[in-house]
Amino acid sequence: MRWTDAVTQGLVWVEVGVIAYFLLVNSFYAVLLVSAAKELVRHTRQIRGERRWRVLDSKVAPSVSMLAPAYNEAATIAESVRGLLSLYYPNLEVVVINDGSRDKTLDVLTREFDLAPINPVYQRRIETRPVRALYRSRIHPNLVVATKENGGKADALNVGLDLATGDLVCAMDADTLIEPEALQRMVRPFLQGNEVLAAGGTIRVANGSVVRGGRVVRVRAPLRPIPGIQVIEYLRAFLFGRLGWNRFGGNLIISGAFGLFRRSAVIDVGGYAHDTVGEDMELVLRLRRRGYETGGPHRVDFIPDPVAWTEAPESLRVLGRQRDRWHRGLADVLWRHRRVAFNPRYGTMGMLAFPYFVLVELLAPVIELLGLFALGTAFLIGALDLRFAALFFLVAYGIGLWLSVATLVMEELTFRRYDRMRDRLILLLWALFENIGFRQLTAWWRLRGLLKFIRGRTDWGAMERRGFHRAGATTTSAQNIHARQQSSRTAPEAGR
Amino acid sequence: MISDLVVVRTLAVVGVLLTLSVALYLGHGLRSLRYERRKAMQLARARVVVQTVAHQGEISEQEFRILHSLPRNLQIRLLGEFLRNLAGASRQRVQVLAERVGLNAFAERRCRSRFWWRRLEGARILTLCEAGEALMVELFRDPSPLVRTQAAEWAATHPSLRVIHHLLGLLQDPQGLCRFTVQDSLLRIGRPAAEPLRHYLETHTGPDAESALAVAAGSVVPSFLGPALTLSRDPDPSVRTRAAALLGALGGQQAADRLGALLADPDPRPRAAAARAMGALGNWRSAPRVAELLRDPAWIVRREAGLALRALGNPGMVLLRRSLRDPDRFAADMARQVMDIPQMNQRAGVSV
Repeated sequence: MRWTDAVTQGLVWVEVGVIAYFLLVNSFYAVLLVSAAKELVRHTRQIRGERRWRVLDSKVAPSVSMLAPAYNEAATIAESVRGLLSLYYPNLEVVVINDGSRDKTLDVLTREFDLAPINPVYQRRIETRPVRALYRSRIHPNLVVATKENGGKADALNVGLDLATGDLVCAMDADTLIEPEALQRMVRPFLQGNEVLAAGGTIRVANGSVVRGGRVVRVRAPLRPIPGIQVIEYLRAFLFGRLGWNRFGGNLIISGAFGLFRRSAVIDVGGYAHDTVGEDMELVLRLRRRGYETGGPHRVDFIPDPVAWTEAPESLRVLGRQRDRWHRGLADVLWRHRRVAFNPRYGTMGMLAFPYFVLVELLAPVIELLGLFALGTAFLIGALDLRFAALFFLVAYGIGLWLSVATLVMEELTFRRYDRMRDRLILLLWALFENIGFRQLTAWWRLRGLLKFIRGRTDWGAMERRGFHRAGATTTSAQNIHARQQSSRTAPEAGR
Repeated sequence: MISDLVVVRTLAVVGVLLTLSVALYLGHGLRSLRYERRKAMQLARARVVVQTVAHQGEISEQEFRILHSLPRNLQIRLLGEFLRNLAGASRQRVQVLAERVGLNAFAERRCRSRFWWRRLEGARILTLCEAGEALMVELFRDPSPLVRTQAAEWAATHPSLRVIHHLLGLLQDPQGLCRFTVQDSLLRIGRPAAEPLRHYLETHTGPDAESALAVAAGSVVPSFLGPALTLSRDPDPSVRTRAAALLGALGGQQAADRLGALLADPDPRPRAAAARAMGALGNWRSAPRVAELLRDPAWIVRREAGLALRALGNPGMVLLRRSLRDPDRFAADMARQVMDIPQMNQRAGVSV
């Protein structure tokens, strides 16, 4: 046998393996899609005609503390905090953690909210970097500000957890725009029973939409391809990825940009881990593990209708860094909790969700790029079988495209946020383009992240944001966060 | 290895799926755009009719027909919008209009459906229209927790004895949302629920009494004292904690004496609740016993004891100052922390 024959034979087997992998993965996605559709129907029926005022003015509603870490956000912090204070929720406390900002973040807060020093009696149950001072607003007594030495987002959130007094804590990014009614919708699973540890809402891409007074007032599809394609990714990740997992009890991620947790449970597990770039996923896994190990509650729900808006990266460079970091975080978290894999002690989380995250979310870029590499090599040595190539593209990208369009159908039949025909057509276009070029690029970034993880890199990388004022027509708040060092993992598992 | 047929078939399947999905997406988009436009016009005309009813009460047959010809979902949306925001005579007139349009009959039919979501929809409409008493009472026993929850919400505006008894029965519902709604409805009902609630507290113990104690603490009635004293001896520490809070809200010598005993409870939660209640009552005689809790092994008890001492005024402050030199460093530390609290928080009545 000549060496070219051996290589050709090897490439054929690689292609067969890759096609089989994608067939299997896409079949599972189809199951998730059906599961998500069922969940969506059930949820829509549950909330149709529901009056949420009961929660709004009830004496027995659980109290909620919003934890907003801020780092060098003097330009926007006042508007962001005003947005939080105006959320429609009765027992609301806002805890802003100034994470050692080197600009005038604290001065702005002091001036705008008339802060006065306080010495509350609170228990430091989680080790953090030293807290320098605590303040409470004289205008809004439910606003508490902590200023501390810089320690990163996880550390800031841990300070917030120590200080918060609410039954539930909402972890968020300071520049996330939360819809006014989102909290009322989000507490629902916690009211339903004690077995829920955490709940996550939908994160949507605000680029292109009109933002006014810290609220998205008109939803529009972005005209720029990079944020436009991310709209599709986010919709797929949340509407069918996380919603689909609800039925199987396999949700492992609550977005750090907007998630609600039972405070006592988070404190009991020691709060956020400092030494990982995937601290939101790590916390959820730790919470759920502990639940399984102690026979306690371990449910994590995803609720589709509470919505928070985020600004997606608009340049390939920034997006690449973000995806690289997300994948490093994913690899790190899965490695830390590797004992969960195929362990029946952890129920569906161990037997289904965790292996899925390893085999599909973590390894997908490896397999995908391997398939593309095999095709490219076969082409170069003149051994390309067109049938193989066609089947590979159909199974990997054709079905991927269908899944994206199916998610758009789900969005259309339920929430219908993009209400202009023009926006629908634009989204359809981005769904198509996502599979041509963008997806391969993402696979490369993710592979790079995986390789960095193997080499032991743990840096965050800078996250530059353009600011909503440039993304949308009008804006006055909670935006323009330049050079933020930390941005949450908002839509990691793209579900393709 | 792979035949052309496999590729062609896969292409066909993917193509068909894609075409169908795109057609559904765009088709639905077009349809909903047209529908929205038509709906907006219909709604605008019907809104004027409902406004007329709300303000004057009288409309012509032709005007009524405008509302009557509206699709059912739009009728529900429009009338719901008014009913949620009106009160008094205007609201009653709109309720009569809803009945005349056939909304109540429609909701009652829905309530008899075998599908939970239809029953839920019916119950929600009847809640909005404050109608269908006979039917809603049956829904307290519905197999769906969501429907039971809705029935409990409806009950807040129908505080008859029979309804209150049904509500109390749902305090032990396995579904948390239902229990929450029942508690909320009982709190909204207020006085009329007090006597049945007292009876409930007298006849229930353990976890069954816990939710009721939370309601009782929110609507303080002197007759709750007896059950609160009894339940403060319950074997379940959560119940004793709730009972301590209720005793603190009720006040009086008997309550203070019992709270004094709870300061030595074996579980930290009732101890903390008792200390807090002592502070809230301003029971300065208990100050030395509360001060002892500054040495408690549980942080929450030390904190509540410290805050209670501060709330007790001078007698408490004297003990706090003395505790600064306590050989137990935890007691001294808590005393220092509590004494460090600036006056601002006290004046503003802000919790610390």
